[in-house]
Amino acid sequence: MGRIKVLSPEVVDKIAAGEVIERPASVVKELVENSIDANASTIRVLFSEGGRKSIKVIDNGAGMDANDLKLSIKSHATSKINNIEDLLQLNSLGFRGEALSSIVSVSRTKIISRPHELDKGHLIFIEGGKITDFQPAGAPPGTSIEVNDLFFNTPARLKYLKDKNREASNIIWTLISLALASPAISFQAKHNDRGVLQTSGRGDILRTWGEIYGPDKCMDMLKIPGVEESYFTISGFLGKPNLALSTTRGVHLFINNRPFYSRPILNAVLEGCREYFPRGKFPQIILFIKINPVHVDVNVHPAKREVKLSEQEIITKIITEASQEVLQKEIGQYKPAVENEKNGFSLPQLLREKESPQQGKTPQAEKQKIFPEAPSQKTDFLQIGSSFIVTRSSQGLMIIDQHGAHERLNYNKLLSQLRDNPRDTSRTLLTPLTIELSPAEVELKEEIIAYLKKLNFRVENFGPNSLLLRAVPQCVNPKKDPLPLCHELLQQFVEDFGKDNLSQIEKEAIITIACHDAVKAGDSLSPEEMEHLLSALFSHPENTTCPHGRPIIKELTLKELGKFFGRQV
Amino acid sequence: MAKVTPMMEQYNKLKNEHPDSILFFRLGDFYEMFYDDAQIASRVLGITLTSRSKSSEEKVPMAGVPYHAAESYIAKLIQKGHRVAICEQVEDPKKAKGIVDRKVVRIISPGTVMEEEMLQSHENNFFLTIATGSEKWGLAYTDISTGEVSVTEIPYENISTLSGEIGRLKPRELYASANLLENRTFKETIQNQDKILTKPFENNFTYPQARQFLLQEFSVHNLEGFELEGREAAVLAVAHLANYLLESQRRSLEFLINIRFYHLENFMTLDSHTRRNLELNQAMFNKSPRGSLAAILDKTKTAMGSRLIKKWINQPLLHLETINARLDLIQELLENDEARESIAAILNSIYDLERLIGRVCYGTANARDLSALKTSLQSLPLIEKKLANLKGKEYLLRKNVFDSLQDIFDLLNRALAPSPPITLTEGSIIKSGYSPDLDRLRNISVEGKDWIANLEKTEREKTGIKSLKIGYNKVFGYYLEVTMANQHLVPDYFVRKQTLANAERYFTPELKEKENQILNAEENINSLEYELFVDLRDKVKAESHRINSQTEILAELDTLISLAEAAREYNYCRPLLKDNKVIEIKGGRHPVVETTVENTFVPNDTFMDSIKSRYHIITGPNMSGKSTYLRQVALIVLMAQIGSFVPAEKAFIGIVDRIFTRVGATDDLTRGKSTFLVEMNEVAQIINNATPRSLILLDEVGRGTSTYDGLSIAWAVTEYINNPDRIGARTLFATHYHELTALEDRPGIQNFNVLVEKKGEEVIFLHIIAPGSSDESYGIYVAGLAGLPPEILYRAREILNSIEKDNKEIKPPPRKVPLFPDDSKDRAEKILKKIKVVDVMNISPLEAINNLYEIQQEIKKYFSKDGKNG
Ligand SMILES: Nc1ncnc2c1ncn2[C@@H]1O[C@H](COP(=O)(O)OP(=O)(O)OP(=O)(O)O)[C@@H](O)[C@H]1O
Ligand SMILES: [Mg+2]
Ligand SMILES: [Zn+2]
Repeated sequence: MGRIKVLSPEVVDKIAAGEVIERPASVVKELVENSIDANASTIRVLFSEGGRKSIKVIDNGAGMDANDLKLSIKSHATSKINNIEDLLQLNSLGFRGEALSSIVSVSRTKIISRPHELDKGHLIFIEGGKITDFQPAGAPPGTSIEVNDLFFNTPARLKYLKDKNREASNIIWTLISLALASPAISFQAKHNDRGVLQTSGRGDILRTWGEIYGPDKCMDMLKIPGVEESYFTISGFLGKPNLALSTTRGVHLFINNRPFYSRPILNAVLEGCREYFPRGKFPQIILFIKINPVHVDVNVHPAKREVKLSEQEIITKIITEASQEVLQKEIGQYKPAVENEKNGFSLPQLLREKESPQQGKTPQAEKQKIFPEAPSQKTDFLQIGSSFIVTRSSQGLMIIDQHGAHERLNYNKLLSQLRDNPRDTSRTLLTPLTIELSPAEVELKEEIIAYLKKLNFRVENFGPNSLLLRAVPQCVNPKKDPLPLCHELLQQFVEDFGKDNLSQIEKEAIITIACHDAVKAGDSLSPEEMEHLLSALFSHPENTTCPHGRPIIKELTLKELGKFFGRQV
Repeated sequence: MAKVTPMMEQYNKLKNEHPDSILFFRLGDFYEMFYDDAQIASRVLGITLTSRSKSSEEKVPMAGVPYHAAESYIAKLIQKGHRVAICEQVEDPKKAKGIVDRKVVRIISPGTVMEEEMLQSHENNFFLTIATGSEKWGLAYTDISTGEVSVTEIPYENISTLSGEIGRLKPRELYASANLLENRTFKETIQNQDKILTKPFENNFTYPQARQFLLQEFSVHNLEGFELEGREAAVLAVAHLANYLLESQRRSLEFLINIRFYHLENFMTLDSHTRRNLELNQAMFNKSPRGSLAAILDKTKTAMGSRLIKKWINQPLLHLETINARLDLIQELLENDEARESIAAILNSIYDLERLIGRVCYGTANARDLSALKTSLQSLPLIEKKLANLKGKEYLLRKNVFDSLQDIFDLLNRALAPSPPITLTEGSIIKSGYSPDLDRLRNISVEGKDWIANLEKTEREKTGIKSLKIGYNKVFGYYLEVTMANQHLVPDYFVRKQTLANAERYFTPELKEKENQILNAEENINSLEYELFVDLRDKVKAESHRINSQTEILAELDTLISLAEAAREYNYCRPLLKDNKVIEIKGGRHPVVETTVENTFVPNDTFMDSIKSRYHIITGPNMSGKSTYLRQVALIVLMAQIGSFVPAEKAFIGIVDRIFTRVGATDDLTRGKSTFLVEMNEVAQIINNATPRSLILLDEVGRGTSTYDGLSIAWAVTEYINNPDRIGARTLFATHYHELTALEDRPGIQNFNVLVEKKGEEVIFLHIIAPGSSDESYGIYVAGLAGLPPEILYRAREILNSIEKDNKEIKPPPRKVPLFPDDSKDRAEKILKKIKVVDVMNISPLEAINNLYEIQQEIKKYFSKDGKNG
């Protein structure tokens, strides 16, 4: 058949030169791209030890006959272009004729291939670029390529590889974008024999995305209305903020079905989402740009990772607007965005900064401004739903979760008590109380007595299945019956018993005590109580989450209000 | 004869009643075994053999196990195929006059295991009864851990169906009439099975007796509800089964919850060879479930689903509508990722409801079991919600409406303590608020303790001893402790209890009384909780039918999701089934083999119909993939008729009523039969049972005898099966007899071969089945692969060449005019039968002559009608 030809030197000169294979993920990318170019409808990828030991890509695509197979591993041998003009009108992912030759020169590779129209296939073994075996073979139609011992003959490269989990994760991300780029192809990938990805290849992009990220999340993906310009179209799906990730890995960009990376386009997407996403959180998006190949230059990066677009400004602008529009339609009305001006940052952002330290660009001085100023004047407190306290803040309006706030204060107190003077901080009860034990608790009676003692309770054995409670920690609310608390602690202890992390068990116990003594959602509070609670809360700037990690304060700034009401404030 | 002690006398009496069980004889804290039982037990369990002897003349071998650890020992004995009779002391030894009365309370045998630890959760454990009616066998089987009983009938002439059912059920135990168990053919049938413990019927039922017995045991007026009325053999079978269970379990039969008659005509018949050859349940070479079709398709989340999918695999369907209904649902579940994944996740939290309910009805469920039931029921509303959106729900709910059983959940939720203990006698099972009586008792205990806790304060005030303390210790109970320094303040109503180095401990009469009250209350609490629990269990038992009908739905849903998941994972396609005789497969794969060769499996197409391409003769070298191909076609057909998607790009399947396989039979050698005989038995069985709608796989017929014999038989068999007037079944015949390819000129027969590529001396298998015949067998090449020395290979090649040169082509004789024209086959058979049944040894000469006369008349009739040869 002889479809593969070696490119002429003139063409070769025009192709961006450089390293093609940097890591296992590049092998996967190149092999899968070849399978896609070969019109496969199913592609399987099996790899082990993060791809360092072996990578196997099996497709049911066109396959190669004996001649093609031998040519395919030559440098600059390709069936995809012939001349320089073809380079400008690319319809395939490959064009350099470099991938296979690069791969086989740094590995031990076995390729088996059989064209659909022939009964007979062939196999070829190559070791470090040299053919060691070549013969006919029984094979299913299509091609399977097995790359073993990558970089076995280039120790320097081998050294640069990351540990197998990191390499595996790189491979998986590579596969995710390829699978999303080709929803009509069924992908199946296994790492060390464990399935890591499977798509059905039914051609529906959103379904494919759901197969990767979870079908239940699909309903939170918003369709980006197709934008059709004279020479390009944009389409795709954008996830609501509740699907946000803390990296940009969920941003999948495709140009003419080729996954690609482009800083300007990424920025355009982020810009469009910015108002709707908390800082440090990034959208999940699948964005397809279809453009006349003449306007794209993929021949700028040796690994074809980046592309150059002519008319980039128009495209980025449209992308930004399209994303904004989608989000605005869905959530714009009732969840106004926060303006991100230099000084206008709001409390929630501060919280998030703490969660994701990589975003810690906020100057220290500004951070401290928040608390001492709030609440400003002699304040009014308003309790709503017997659960939240609304009050004025220096910037506008603040809503506090009463239970979380109180829980946080209790927690701080307990921690410092235990830390500062571990003994002698119990309060003896006027009359001791009896604690009835469940059979499981009876089994661990001795351990329980010791454990409670550590937490500043004092208990004694009091009958076959009871304990006598004589003292509780100081901070335990004297007005409340301590027995339910004790029962909760014991239950927790029994459940966690045997887990080695004792300090974790203790920490949870402290949270439980803190939670137990806190006012509950639904308790109504007097103005004095509210004031007491809030002033204690505001005296420590770090009191922004409850010990379980949930936020306890929400601020609405005047700016936000102004924006919402369309009014300059 | 030495004098026997009264206890041994009692033992001997009990042992005589249970000669075929190992008797666990309760002696204090041990179960003791004597004589042979002791010997077996010591060998199987690895426990020491001692002896019990009063007089030195007779040493009685003895071995014992502690009662609290008995379960694991029993499990081991059962595992090894023994029955164990548990004999308990049934009166309090303290109250007994003379020797304690003992009774066998239960007989545990491999087929009647209830205990979860002794069962495989993903498999059924069947006890099978076969009764012989006047024209039919009655089969009844049960898995007593689920309480389900199934019954059917099989006409005597279908012995292969009987053996097929035994093979499907893989019973651990078989209960049947002594006659049947002694019958030679039957013995052979069950010898094919692994480890079946058999037991002859202990009593004889007539049909009316059996019927009466069932009416009485199940308290019904007639047997219509069970679909048993008028089915003699089935009724006998169920009666024997019930009787055995009554005897061995020694409790009422309420635990049998469901008796169902099933119609074998609804299912594809599979004999045990076929099941084994197609590796439906276990791999051929190591008998392990890995590598079986079941292992590939079973992605179920619940134990009942896992058992059901195996049942489906072993009982493919024949009705188009049912198959399509399953396929529709699988397709819907395959397309609806959200539903499939979320339902699977919910099912994951559901326990083995069948066996839980089994234990509830049997009366051995403990509080953890009910707690597991509660947790499982909690998920039902979630499933109901998901089901509501499925189009296929109608099919799923065809027998029972969905009932989320929340009343039972609520009851359990109200009654059961959050994580109850296993033991039922130590309290803490029942939630407070459920029973006022229990709450009151608990209050007494709690208030009593509170009162004691308060006593410290009151006594301090009364006596002025500031350091007076209340306390408790295990030995002395509750006390008031006063330090030495304060001894002078101790009032006189304090009674000294214990003296310590620096303190004295006292009690007061009031304290003592409270302590007693508390102890009493606690004892009462425990027994009341036990009663409440038993009552709760009975309440659940009363609803067992409702729970079971939901369990059925869940198991089926689980199974369908599993098949959808398999279809997704392995890229199966939906087969199109028709009521015709075409099999057309594009890109077919072997579902098991394709997973072991890392997706380099070479797919093949298949086309068969009833006219032009009925009988495929497939030639090709050993190891080239013929056998895999044969099995692949059968498996695709079988999977399609389960209602599953199939490993192919496209598949049209004309429904097949039976699949027959005849594949190399090495393991039969151990039974002392020649390979050839076994082979011929199997062929005979196929020929006697196949219909035009059957699918037959023949993998080398006639191998076990001389080439010419073998070839001739293969030839004749081919002619016979291919002949539409005889059988005309679709057949795949893999053979080394290249001579057979000459048969291609017969209508219906087609040649195929497995393609190979020769490269010098080497042969490369392409695994492709293509039309045409292959010219060589490459046997010598394969022998080389297997490691025969070059010298032998060389010589073999030499001989082959010389034979081929002489061209000893085996010229098959032309087909002779048949003895009897086709249409009168029946008549001829009638004559032959007549001759066959003559009892030559006992016939009188006159009778013989009469017989001969009659036969002659028959023949004359025939020939005159035919008009020739007269
Ligand atoms: N899976 C496959 N199925 C069919 N043909 C293939 C397959 N993989 C490679 N080939 C053939 O081998 C040739 C060389 O592949 P290779 O990846 O080295 O180059 P390319 O894809 O043409 O260009 P690039 O270097 O940009 O990837 C291809 O042009 C194609 O003809
Ligand atoms: Mg390529
Ligand atoms: Zn809390």
